[in-house]
Amino acid sequence: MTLLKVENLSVTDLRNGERILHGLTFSLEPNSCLAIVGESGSGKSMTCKALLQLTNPWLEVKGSVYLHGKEIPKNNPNEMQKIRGKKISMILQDAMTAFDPLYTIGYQIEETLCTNLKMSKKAAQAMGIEAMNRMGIYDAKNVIKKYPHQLSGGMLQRCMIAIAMAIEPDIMIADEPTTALDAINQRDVVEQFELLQRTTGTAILFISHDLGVVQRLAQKVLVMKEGSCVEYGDANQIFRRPQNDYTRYLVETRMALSQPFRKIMDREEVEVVNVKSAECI
Amino acid sequence: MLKVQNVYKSYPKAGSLFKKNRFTVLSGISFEIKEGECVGLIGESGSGKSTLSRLIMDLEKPDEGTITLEGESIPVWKKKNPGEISVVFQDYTSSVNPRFTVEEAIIEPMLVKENIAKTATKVTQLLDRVALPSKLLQRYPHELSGGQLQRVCIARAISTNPRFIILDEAISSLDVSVQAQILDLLKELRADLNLTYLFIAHDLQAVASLCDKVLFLYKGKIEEELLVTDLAKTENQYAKKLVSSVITFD
Repeated sequence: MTLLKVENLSVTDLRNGERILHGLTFSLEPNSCLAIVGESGSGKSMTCKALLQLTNPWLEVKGSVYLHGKEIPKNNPNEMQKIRGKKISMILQDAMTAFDPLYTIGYQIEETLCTNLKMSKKAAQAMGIEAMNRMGIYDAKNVIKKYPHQLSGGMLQRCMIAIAMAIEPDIMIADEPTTALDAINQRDVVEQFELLQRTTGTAILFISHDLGVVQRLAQKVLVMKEGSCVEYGDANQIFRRPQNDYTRYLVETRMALSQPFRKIMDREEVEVVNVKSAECI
Repeated sequence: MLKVQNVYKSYPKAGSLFKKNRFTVLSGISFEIKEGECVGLIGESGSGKSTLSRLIMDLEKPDEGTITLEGESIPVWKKKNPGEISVVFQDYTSSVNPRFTVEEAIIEPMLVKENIAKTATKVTQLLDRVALPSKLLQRYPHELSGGQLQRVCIARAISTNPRFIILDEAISSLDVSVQAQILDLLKELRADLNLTYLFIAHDLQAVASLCDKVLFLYKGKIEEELLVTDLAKTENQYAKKLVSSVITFD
């Protein structure tokens, strides 16, 4: 059965009548990964905010979202609160600002687990440490005593994924989790997601503008441009034979960035690759 | 052209009065950039890349060691060659005055060398150079997209006919698709204007596509220096780790 089904999701700014999302329809199967790709401002983050009903009050959200075949009711904060965290959790782009700088990582993990899973502080701490070990943080006992500014961006990102994982949600939404990281940390985080997919049945909704990362993780891809879906389907199919001009442009520019590096690695001569697709911008 | 010799830089730790409690950012950096070369400086966040770029621009003084451009110290060189060293920063929104239009932002550095009458025609040429339509001239920074604004920053950087440009994470905060376009622009400009680049980045793929030489900066030291074409042959542990963690697309 389809885990999450989104039908005709639209968002309108009530202040000036501007339409931000134009009728998105997609679905997420259990134990799979759907990636939403597009340039900044294309409405990727707005899509997940709308899914979780976290939009600003002046934005009107239309359309229906089905979780396990049941529609998520609108204007019912209590019901939504039960879904957020436990059923659908979210990882944010900027790990540095996602944590409260005044509290230790350990305290924030406890707080999240206690509220979401209704467990004791002690149990929450043990669970947090276990989750962090699974994420490849082996000195978790020390890490939980630290404040956010004492840890690197990659480490914080892993802590955030660890918290989300410990709750064992049905769906994990990851909003550009690798963008703010350098190459080594980026690789680590991507590997954690691969591990997560292998070991648990959690479905991932992965948002990114980096097709390299998407290619490694996703089975299905949704390409967005200016708030509408321009292409949706199997990841390999889209990357190998893009149907839409915009998708082709994204694929080509990403290729152009990778090519010199790949050529050096294959010890071949480097030739200058030029991209001239200005009409798509 | 640029010669950095045995440079040390440390900052006082927050809350300490005495010299003992200092946090060393750069410890013994030496390298050289030849005229017309493009050198990539790569390292993780906090490794001292931006500190090094500030030292080269003479915005701060090194604790020890010397930095020279064509055999002269930076302040002397800058006085003799006004406007011939430029910089493009990562954060394009905060590096352009929000009250200036695109035109004013580009004209501002040119006033060092020329009078205002001459600049008007040059601004349109510069916009053309970085592939922006001239109708953007009267726009304000917040009315442009990230890629457009970064192009304005590049136009501004080349407006004084510099010979040496420091690109401090100039493409890191742009979308991947826009990154590819800006890289192409930088390649073109380099060939046309005979520029020397110091390209600071954390993405090896961008460095590989633009630069001739790479420096790996790790914990305040240059760990490895090699030609881009020799990336695969590196013996250094840190460089190897970086090379192997690049996620390519095919």
